[in-house]
Amino acid sequence: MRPTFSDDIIENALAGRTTKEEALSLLQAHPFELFELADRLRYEAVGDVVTYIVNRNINFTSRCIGNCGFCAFKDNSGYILSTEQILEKVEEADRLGATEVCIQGGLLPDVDLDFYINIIESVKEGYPHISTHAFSPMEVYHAAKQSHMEIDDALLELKKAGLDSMPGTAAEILSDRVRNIICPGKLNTAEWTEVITKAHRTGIPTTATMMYGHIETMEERIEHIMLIRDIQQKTGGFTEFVPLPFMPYNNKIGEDMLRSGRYITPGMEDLKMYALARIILNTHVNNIQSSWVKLGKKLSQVALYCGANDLGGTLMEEKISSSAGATNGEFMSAQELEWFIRTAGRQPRQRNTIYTKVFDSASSGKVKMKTA
Amino acid sequence: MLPDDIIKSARSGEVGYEDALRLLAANPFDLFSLANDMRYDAVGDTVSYVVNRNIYLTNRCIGNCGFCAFKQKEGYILTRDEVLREVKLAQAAGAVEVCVQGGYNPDLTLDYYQDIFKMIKSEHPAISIHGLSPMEVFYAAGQAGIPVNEALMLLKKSGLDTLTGTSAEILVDRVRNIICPDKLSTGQWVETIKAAHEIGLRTNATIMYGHVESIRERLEHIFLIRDIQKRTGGFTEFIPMPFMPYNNRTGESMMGRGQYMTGGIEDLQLFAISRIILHTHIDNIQAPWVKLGKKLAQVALFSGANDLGGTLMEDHITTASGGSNGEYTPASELEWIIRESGRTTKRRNAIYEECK
Repeated sequence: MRPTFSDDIIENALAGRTTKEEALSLLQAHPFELFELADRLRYEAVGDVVTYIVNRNINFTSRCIGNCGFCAFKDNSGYILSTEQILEKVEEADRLGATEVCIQGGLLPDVDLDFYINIIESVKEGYPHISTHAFSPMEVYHAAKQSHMEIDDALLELKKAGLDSMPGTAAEILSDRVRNIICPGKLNTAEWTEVITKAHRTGIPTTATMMYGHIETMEERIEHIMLIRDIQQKTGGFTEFVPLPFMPYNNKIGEDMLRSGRYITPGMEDLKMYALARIILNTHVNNIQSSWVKLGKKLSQVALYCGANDLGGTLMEEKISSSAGATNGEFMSAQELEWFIRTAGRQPRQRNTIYTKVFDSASSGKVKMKTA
Repeated sequence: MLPDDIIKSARSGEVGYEDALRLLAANPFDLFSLANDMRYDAVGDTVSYVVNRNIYLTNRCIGNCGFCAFKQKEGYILTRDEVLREVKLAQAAGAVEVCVQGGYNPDLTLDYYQDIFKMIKSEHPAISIHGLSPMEVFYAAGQAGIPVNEALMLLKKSGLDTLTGTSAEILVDRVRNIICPDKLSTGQWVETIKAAHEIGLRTNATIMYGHVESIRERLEHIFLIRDIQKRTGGFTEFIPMPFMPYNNRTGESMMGRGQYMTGGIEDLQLFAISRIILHTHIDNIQAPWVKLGKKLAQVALFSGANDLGGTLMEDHITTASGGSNGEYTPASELEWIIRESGRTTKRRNAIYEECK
């Protein structure tokens, strides 16, 4: 294939200076050309290694005072895990070789920062070797507010308690127009940016996410990715970017969408978002994660040819996407993840949360377990 | 870049075995692009689908295929009334076709099938009957003690419009001896299909790949389909189906040795190579969303496929083997997928005629 992109576009992509107009024009090109450019940048950034993490999700409550229209997980007569129940799950994760627990939950009305600190301290006390990847910017914002504290102080307390890193969730689309429609009760774009920036400055690295494919425009998606790039230029605290296609089932936003004759994003559109994210974030965020829970195992492998270099986690349990109609399972073994990586012609490596360490096949961090 | 001589043979429908291997070794996107161009040459920018319903007559089966997660020892056999009720549901949902299949066992005689088809046709003359696999026909003919072509003639007379090209799996006896030793052999499958085509019963063709077969065996299979088509012209479409390794013996032993479901790239390569090998012979390559997932099935439209299959309404076979893509996609969603791909929608029947 002969690339039809102008030299300027390619030069700016290589230098990490892609503009919004250029991003829009990249989307007008033949998708395979876009994928080829993203694949080339992926190779230059990280080579042929594809990473994954052995981890476990722990969603400690399904109750939430939020009112996000896209959520199918919230259930106000739902469960709250006790500290003991959380620790049982960590114990199980530890036994299966997990290096990380990803702890998130709904917003409880009657908890403050101490509740969150207690979770982290309990996990760290029993399992100091397991990385705590926990609490979205919304949860941190909620905890600080409930305790009448500044965000910085709350973050510092969490870090002292043992919080290693934070998921960059609750980002959805970082446009207040969109947020006012799909999650009016959530922190706004500036507040999300503030929590993330302060986390990075406190020495807590985070991921960055984007949930697309609902009511947002293409321009808003691009602006979102460019905002992530701006933050990264200032802080350097993002470890990876994770594009997440919206699951339109069992939730209000999705049902409105399906009724109006719009469905889940098709695969080509997903692949284009992965490619575009790689290009816009080139030289800034090296890792683009392809989420098998959202894309399905087969398509998440294809994304490895379109800019992605990470397949995410083994998860072990997953409640948020499956309640919104994702049917790709809750667990993928390390062996199966490695199979999809090897059959893509890449080298699999198990990584830690912040991509600073890989484990070789002989490592004890490796799990061997049967499909649940 | 792909070699010019291969592109030239591809365009004239004469890609050879070694050419195919070279294409599979090329950059996948170059392969997809070639397949996409040939798809455009063959059928343009129209993508079709069929509003249909699967009806499983029985899950009782005397076969012992290692890849099957559907079969039960003490299963059900649908009564005439139950079949009729399903056809009514199909008709009410706008279906133009029912796809009638099931296990094979001594209770499902040639008479039973004829009776079912006659009944469907007398109650719902407008509904097209796409049904039975070569295996079911072969077995029922054997039980009745008549030649396959006579059995096919009787079935056709009773209302069967098209035969399915399933039970093909991989058309190589080495593979069949491992995964489905009791099933009809490659030679018998080919004879049954040819006999159907000869009496004017058209069929589709399928391949179930991603288990114990080699890449070369997959290619042999596709070349065999091309050879048959050159003689009979009776195939309507080719449907590559990735193997679902869950809840069945073949899959479990495969996963036990560290081999899992095919990755999406491998699936797309198979769609592309099928389009290229079958070019000028079979125009329609179907991407089954039940096996690939909706998202990947759409990507296959850029890698050689031009059809999304059916709305289905029920797919017990795939879901039994761990298919998690649902059993029903409404026509409006299939049309959304097609339009989002920049293509034109076409609602079709089993033989690819447009349905208004």
